[in-house]
Amino acid sequence: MRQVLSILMENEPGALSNMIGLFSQRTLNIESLNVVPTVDRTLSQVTLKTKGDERTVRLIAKQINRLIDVLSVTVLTDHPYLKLDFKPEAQMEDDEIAKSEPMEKEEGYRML
Amino acid sequence: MNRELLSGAEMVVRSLQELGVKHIFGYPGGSVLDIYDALFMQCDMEHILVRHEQAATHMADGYARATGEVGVVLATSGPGVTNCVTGIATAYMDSVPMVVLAGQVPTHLIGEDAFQETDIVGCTRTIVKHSYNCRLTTDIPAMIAKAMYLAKTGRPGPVVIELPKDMVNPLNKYPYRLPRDIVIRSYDPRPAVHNDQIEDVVNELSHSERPVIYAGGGVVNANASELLTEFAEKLNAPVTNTLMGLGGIPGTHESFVGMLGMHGSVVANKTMAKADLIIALGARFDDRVVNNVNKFCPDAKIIHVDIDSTILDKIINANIGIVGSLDDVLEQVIDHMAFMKMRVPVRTGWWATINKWREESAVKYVPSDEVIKPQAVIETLYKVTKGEAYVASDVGQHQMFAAQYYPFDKPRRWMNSGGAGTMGYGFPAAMGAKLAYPDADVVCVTGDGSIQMNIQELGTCLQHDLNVKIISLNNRSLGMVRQWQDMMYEKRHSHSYMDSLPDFVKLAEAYEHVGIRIEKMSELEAGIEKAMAMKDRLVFVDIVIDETEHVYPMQIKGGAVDEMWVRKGEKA
Repeated sequence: MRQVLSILMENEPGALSNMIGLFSQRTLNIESLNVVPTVDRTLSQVTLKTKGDERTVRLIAKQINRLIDVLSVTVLTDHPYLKLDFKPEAQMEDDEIAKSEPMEKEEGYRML
Repeated sequence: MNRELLSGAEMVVRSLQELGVKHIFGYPGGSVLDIYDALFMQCDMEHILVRHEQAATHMADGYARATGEVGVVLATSGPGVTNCVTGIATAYMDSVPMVVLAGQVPTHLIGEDAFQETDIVGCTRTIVKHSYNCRLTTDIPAMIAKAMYLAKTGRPGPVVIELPKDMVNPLNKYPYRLPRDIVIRSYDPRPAVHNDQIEDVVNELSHSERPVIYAGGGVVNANASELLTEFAEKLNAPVTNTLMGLGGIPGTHESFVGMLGMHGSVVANKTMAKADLIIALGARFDDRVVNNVNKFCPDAKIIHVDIDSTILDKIINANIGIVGSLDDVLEQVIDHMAFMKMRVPVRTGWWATINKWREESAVKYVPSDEVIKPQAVIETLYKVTKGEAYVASDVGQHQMFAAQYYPFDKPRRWMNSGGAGTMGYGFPAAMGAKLAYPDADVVCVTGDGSIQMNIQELGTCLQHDLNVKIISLNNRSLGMVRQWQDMMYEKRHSHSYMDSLPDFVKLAEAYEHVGIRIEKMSELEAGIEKAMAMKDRLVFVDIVIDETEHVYPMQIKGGAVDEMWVRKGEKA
């Protein structure tokens, strides 16, 4: 099952590596990873997408939370969320592009 | 305010001194020579020069387990610190407070495959509680203070600090300040326990007819053994300890039903299997306890208390899970039991059942006059030391015999590598305990396999006058491996015997220690008495035991917690 985690951690070298190791140890792939410093430059916000059974991901989330450099972990897929299906224009067939409404396209790209 | 100017090396030494460190275990080398020079200039801290860095970590570990204080290790870059890896993993698995000061090549060479360069922080990432890379000399005092704090508080564990050589250069001096208050914003070493959880626990306790307290190493770490005993008495419930928790309740206490798990007592495992409520305190439902998860006590409700939230619901789901320090939680539970005027339940039926199991399993092994049985050695050791010794064991059959036949009445008397199962742990750990308590009897229970994994430390004992007693159960084979081969591999003893053992007596004597060899049952007690009486000498007691003996009881693989072999060919 696809899971999205949101993590707030110290903006320190090694902090990310400690976290990533918890996934590779259990041979879980990370499908996307985004790291940005927050307004408070001493902190980083990480958004991460992985695929794994719920129990494993939940355990990893707790183990991430235990890391000394981590302030908080939220499993985003636990909360109500809005999901939009879209394809980037480059992957669309010509007739699909013709059929799609401009508004949908815009929303799709905004999500990207 | 004018602050004193110190070099990085001096800051390392001064910070440790101010934090109350009395002993450092280590081995010098290129990248830490400046720190060693600073050590040379002081006399508050004693440095113990080991013969191999792995032993330094195990010594620090034994010291930490015996005292509850942080064990500090100093090793040079590259092979120095990679030799520490096994000791760090051992401390991590058993939640032992340790700080490892790891030398590193100068910062401008890091990443260039410099001489004796290893990314030790990378190597140890998954076996430390936390690690620090020092990149600013003025950070050193705060880094050491934080490392000591992290190692000791919450769920204890090892912390590694990487110190590149240019950071400790004696020529560069900076203002020194050791922070007094440590705040780490993302770290809460004592999570608050909520009242409603305590109420729920007491409610469950009052409804249970057949409770059992399953207490692990967390009780020892939280210094909560007196509270545990009080709790067990107020609840009138049986208590079982994990391998790590031994001594958490007096081993001779009437409520104690023995160790549980793979080589646990029949009584303890049956008590677990038939209980309607399991109160797990500072224990983690390890695979060597639970056996088959799917068959684990399906009828029991579970209360699980641990300071580490990741332990809860990891293997077995709890009906009530509490994250908190055991001393806090037990105190509040006992208070609330009193507040609710909960009477001490009688539990006639439950105790009658348990006592019946006790009677049935009273005979644990078949004694012999012909050969020396390993169990008899531990029983004799218990008799001679009156149960008062600090015992550090290695890993294998002798470890289980020591756990089964030497009841500990006090916590922090028993040191063994429970989680990692590190052969070679026992001897240096015993040395660490002896250093902490020079006047106490400290015994290393080991075997002919394990002792050879760190036997070079006989030299360290000579240099630092560490007069431990080595009780080696010599069965000329790797006993536990051989036992499994007997039971599961049709007695094919693939590489589990040793046909080139040294003469351990001569080996001990070569290091100016005393060696005693015991080959007959009739010599056993007098031999151990003689060894223990030599207070100011290290005595290596090489005891030739029955090599065919197996450790029983033994859980049957894939079975329930109480499915066991009780002796050769006989199931419970």
